[in-house]
Amino acid sequence: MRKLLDEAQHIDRYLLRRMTVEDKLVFQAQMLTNTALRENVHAQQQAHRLITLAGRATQREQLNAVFNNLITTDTTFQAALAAIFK
Amino acid sequence: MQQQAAQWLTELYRDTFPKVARIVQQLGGDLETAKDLFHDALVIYLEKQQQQQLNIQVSAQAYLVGITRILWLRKFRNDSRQQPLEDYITDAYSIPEDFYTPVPEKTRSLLQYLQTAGKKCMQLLQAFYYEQRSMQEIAQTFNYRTIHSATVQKYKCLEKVRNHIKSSAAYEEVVG
Repeated sequence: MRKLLDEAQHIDRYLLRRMTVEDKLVFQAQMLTNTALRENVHAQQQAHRLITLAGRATQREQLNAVFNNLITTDTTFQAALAAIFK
Repeated sequence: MQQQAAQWLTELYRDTFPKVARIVQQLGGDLETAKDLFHDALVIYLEKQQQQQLNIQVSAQAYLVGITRILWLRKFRNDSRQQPLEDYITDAYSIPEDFYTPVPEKTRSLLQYLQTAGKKCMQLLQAFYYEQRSMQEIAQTFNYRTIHSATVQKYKCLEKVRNHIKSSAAYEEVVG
């Protein structure tokens, strides 16, 4: 387990561009010869993408909640929008 | 702190959205379109702010209006009379590269699954990778006794998501 977590941490440093140039070159060489590592890097990159998508979805939900709150409680906001979309 | 941020966001929304809505209406859009574009603009603004890449010389309001205009043009750029967007988009107004990358149906399903079955894990991962919060703050928010235990849990969660991705990829290979 510990080994897997260390590997995930190491891959993160590579994907988040927190490696030194030397470490990056060594890591890229390891990827060329280690298929399992290459697959894990690819899957972890996909995981980052999924997290970004989830983050954006959550953010949009929060923004919808802000809109719903303003449109039901703020009369100035309501009136401004009603005047625009007559 | 989070309450202050929520208050700031509500005020920014209240003061800016009517301006954006007027522009979108003048361009021929409806309220729903205005909302969608404005929310995209806010997502871009907040991401850049979180990543400390918000390099702007104008107010948040002016920036959001500018980004919404760009998003409108991008959405309806089929009109050949419009000049290419790249001609006048500066770095500050750039849209993140992956913002318009289509999301395959299988990815959507996987995301939906993870957001329900692994909700706490996804929240933890979002807090670190998307919201870029510190591990100290995350440990407090998610009630971990130490930063180390929060960090270990973060990597366990990442590992879990990674395995789901790998197994769904293997599944795709099996079913073609």
